[in-house]
Amino acid sequence: MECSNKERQNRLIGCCKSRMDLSYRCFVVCILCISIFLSGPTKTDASATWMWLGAASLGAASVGRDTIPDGSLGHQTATQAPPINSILVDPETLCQRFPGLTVEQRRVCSSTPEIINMISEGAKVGIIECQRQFSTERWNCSVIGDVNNPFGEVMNTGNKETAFIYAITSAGVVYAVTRSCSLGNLTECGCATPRGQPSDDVVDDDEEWKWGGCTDDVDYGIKLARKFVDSGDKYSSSSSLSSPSPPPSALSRPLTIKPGVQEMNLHNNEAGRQLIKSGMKTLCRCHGVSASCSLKTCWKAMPSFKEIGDLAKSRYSEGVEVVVRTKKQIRLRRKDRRVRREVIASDELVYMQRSPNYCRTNREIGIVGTTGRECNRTSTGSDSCDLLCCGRGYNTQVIRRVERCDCKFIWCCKVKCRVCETVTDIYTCK
Amino acid sequence: MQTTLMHVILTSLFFLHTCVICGSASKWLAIFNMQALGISTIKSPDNCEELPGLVNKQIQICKRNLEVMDSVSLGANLAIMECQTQFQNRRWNCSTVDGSVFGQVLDNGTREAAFVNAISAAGVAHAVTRGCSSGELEKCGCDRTVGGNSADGFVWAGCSDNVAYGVQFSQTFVDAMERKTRATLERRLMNLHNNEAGRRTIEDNMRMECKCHGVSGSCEMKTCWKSMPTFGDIGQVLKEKFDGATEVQSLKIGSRQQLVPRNADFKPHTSSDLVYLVPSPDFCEEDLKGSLGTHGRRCNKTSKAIDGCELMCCGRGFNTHIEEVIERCSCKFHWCCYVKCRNCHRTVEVHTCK
Amino acid sequence: MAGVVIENLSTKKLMGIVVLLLLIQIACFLVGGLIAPSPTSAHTHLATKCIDPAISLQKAFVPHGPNACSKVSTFAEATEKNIEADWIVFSIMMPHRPNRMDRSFQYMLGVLSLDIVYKEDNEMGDEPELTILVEMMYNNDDNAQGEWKKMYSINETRKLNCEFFHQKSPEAEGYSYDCEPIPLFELGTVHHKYYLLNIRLPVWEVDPDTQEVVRELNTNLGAVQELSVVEIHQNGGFTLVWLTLKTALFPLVILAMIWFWKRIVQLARPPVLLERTILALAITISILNLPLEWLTFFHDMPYMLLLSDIRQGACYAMLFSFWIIFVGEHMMDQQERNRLRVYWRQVGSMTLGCMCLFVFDVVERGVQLTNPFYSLWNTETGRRLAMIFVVLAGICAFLYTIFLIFMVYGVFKNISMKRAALPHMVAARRLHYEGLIYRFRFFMIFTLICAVMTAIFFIFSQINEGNWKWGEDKHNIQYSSAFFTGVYGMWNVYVLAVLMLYAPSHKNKPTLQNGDTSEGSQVEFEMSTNVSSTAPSTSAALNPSGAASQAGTSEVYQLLGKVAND
Repeated sequence: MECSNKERQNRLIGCCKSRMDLSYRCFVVCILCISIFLSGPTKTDASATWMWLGAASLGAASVGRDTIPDGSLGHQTATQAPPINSILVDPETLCQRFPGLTVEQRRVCSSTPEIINMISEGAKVGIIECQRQFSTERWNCSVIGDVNNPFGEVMNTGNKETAFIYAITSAGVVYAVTRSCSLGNLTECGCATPRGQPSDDVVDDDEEWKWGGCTDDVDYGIKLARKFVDSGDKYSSSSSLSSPSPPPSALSRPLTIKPGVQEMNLHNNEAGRQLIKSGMKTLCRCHGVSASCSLKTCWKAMPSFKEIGDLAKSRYSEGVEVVVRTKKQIRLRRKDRRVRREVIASDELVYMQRSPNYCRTNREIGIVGTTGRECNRTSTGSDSCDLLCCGRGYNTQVIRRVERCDCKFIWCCKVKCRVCETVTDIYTCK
Repeated sequence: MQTTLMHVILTSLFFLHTCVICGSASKWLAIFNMQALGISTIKSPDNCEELPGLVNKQIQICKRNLEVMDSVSLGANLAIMECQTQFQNRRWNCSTVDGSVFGQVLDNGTREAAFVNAISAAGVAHAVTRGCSSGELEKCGCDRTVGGNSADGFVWAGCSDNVAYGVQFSQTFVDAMERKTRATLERRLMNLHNNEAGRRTIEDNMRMECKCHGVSGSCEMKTCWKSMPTFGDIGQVLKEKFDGATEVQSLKIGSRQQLVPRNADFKPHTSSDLVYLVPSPDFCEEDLKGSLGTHGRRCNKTSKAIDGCELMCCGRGFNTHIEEVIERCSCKFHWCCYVKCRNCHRTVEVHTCK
Repeated sequence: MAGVVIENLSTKKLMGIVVLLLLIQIACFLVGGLIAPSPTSAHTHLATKCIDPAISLQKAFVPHGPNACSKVSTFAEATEKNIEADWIVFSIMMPHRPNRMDRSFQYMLGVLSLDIVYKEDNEMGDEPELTILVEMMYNNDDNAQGEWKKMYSINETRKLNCEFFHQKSPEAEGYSYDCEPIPLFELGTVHHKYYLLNIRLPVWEVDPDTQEVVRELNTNLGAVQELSVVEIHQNGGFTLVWLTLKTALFPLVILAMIWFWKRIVQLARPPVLLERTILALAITISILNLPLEWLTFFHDMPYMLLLSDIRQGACYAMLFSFWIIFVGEHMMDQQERNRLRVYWRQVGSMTLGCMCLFVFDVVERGVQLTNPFYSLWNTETGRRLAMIFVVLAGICAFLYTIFLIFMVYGVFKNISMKRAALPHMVAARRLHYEGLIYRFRFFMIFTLICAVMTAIFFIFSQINEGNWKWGEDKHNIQYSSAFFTGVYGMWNVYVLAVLMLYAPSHKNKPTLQNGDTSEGSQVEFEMSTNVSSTAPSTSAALNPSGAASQAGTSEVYQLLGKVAND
């Protein structure tokens, strides 16, 4: 299964992975199967498990992208990443059996089975964007954990990075749902409020559509995301009565939930959703008599997710440190006494703990460290070898890249490419 | 009488001290502080004997090249100053310890030891070459091999730095240490390699300086000569090599032991790269090895690099106090040269590690 | 000139009429604001990328359902599968499942948006040009099961207008160009239930005869990622409310018109220019009120938009002419009135302006009857022509406004002159002039109020970007709908008021002797005879109409703040 030295030197994209593809996929499948059939429909108290849907499909997708299938185009081929349900089981069973979904989430999931695909897609989009935004930082949003904690212990610490993860994945879900609505894949957008049950009266929805059009897709996306994602972050005492307490299994870890973490996560989820709203652009078209503006129609257009990621990153830099006040009900207040009067806006990210420096590996608190990260010798930003490696120095490697270059494009798709070979040095932290 | 007794006691203590610790190969650097030992300049062969930290071979060289030794001392000084400049923002800041120059910190073959070796060899070479060019030394002068016309049409003239002599002297003097210590073969190989790397830095970064003297100052006619980079540049280059140093181990290849990179994936080192044997400790706390720790070090609150308070203080936290800085400001020049300045008071926040 | 109703109306009656009209007006506003939804709604459709290796132009590519096409989700995937650019068909089904289009939507507009992303090796060129091959199909079966029937198959080019707001560097890959949306199509009728759009971006232009490649198309577009079409239509609810409003106002105006005409017929003299103008105004607004749109529910009438535009234009033209003529007719002591020829300059300029806009509209909408993807702003010549028309119309409007202001100024100058001379006039003459002044001022105030309200509401609705909702979903006030219904109702109320208040009055017992009553002196004569015939201080009971008129006139004077001066 290992690459030969020559292949490793060549570092061909797809080297080694093509051989590992099948076995890796089986591995992922087995792990998920085991986790599903072992744990069953229990309520774990980790809130971030739904993100694993995205993380898992990310793993499968990065494998799938490298292999070039023998394009059989005659029948319905699957889309880019084989969605979770096509790997394993149909959405209904997945809703019931996937570990880590709360009762509320299972209910929403069962009522609209297509949701599980979109949640997975949304989580994947969020994770990819998170990794892109932090690719030059010491903590690079890597998926290192398991089903319960896809990002490791950082999910439980309540620092800025946690806030960012919650916000960006929440925004990713909204993005995916809205996109799905625009494509027409989801038939419940707009006119139907996500009641959880399919509407018995289709006529009613049609009347609303005919009368005044339907609400914006993005509003539906936000509502659905709120229902699904937030229900996972609420640990209500009532739900613990309905399902028995889970036996400590290998996958669920006993977690100590600090007071205020739930409120913080909910706030950051909402901040992520507001990000999408504030990123929407308004476009208008005049179409009255003789093309005058007596009649103007405006609509909202979704920006690219990269812009949402930029917005989230700037909110992350301006995060607000809060403390928990537990007098009557749990509330979050600014830590800085001088500005305590200022209301915390709904689109600001809040955190409770200062971030550690992510330099040295520390398994207990889930820090991977920066050893082995690729750094840029000539840069002066945070990905320079000096900053990224925390002064430990770097190793130099020579790699030979073989890739397609000088491609001639026709508006979307490549037509003709050359094959270029480049030999470069890459630097990795010690 | 009393002073000489003091000298004897101090030097003997020094020798004692140096005998105890073996393996620290830069003991000869103690030469930088000749003044502390009361030696203002080396005039007679007896002074050579008084110099601390030299092995026999080095003393022989000293006796044979008395006039060069002042340059050597200057070179050692340069090296230590440059080391402290380059490392001022790191946890180990090349601080000298009374007694044996850097303490026991450099006993292991770490990157820091590699740097110190390289910079000291380069320092000696630089100072000796400088001495040659300025005419202080009789045995050498300008580089005569560079002369005539060049391909581009200018004339080699001026005084090109005689780097060859300086490098040669440095090699003879500094490397003499390595052949005589009780260190392991690995360590000796490493030191020799790093010394060579330091000297090569000077050779690889030689610059060409020109002066135009054609018609009305144009560059029709140029006089050029080769000159050494400033020692600050050399320090910079060596610091970069320090960052990218390769971890090596010694393997028997053929009939000899050679240093090869520990990890076969990584790019093999060249003779101008620094190598080291073991990873450095984190220099956070004082320990018996001689690390001074970072308690009380000044740190920069806003930086995210290793001079930032988070990393410098190793997570212990830092204290802040306000200092008043008096500096000269609003300097005015009076018609040519006389400068009149005021004293400005400024309050700055100073952060020190706990 | 004979007096008109307003001069002889008692305050109570006037107030009554005003209140009635105000109620109608408020009802129009409320209907629009509270009952109707917003006038239009826009829905975004993201195109599904279907694959068609055979480049079969006849087939319908449906994104969902049992006959769904084979698709790719991103172009990266397409590249890996070695799918060529001209195999891609962007497929959009309108509306989204499970809804259906309804005939009450009246029209359908399409706006095309391309999401083009910056990539270093596939940058957008200067002046990118988009060439598309569009097919539009319809289907009336349940759930779009059956066959799709072809409506249009059109080749169109559009120019893209894009900007990139980030620094062009490798880190900027992934950011999109900011492009203006491109108008795609305008359908004048929504007759069918489901519409399908298949858009291709062809790569070569092939000469149909020789089958040779003439040139390459779509070469400098950049890296297209997504294509979306925003579909705009009028809300069914708004259409119903609007048509109901029209149907309610239509008989009202017709009745008022009939009443007006009867009054005129009862006069012995032939109708005056002003009266004819008022009648013409009423006729045009009745034509506008005629709810022909009800027929679109049963027949396919793609020309309905064009017809509505023509009706509306005629109404505006008539209104402007009416103002000119009214003001002109009230220039006192001026000869040569009562003939249309006198107003040739003003009416001429206004007509020219309207004709320009008319031609422009007909060309654009007319061609869109056969090719809904056509846009006059597309080609260079078309754009220039359109600009010429619009500029010409603007100039005419400006000229008209200048003329109108001049005339109004002239009238007011006359009024002030007459006012100064009023106390020295004979009573009859004074009454006459004061009547004229009164009704002119009333007319001016009334028209000004209406025009200013229209302008305010227009600006209001523009500022709110055409769609302002106040409050949550169910309880909201639709400002733009209220604007439309309110303004529409307002001008109907205006015409009703003019019909009712400026009908010739029977109160003054107009003389049957004088045929031509527009001469000022003759009127003077009349009035003096009339006034002298009714003794000012005799009992009101003997001659109730006269006394009433007497009382009415004195009340009129009281309104004007004048003291009767014998």
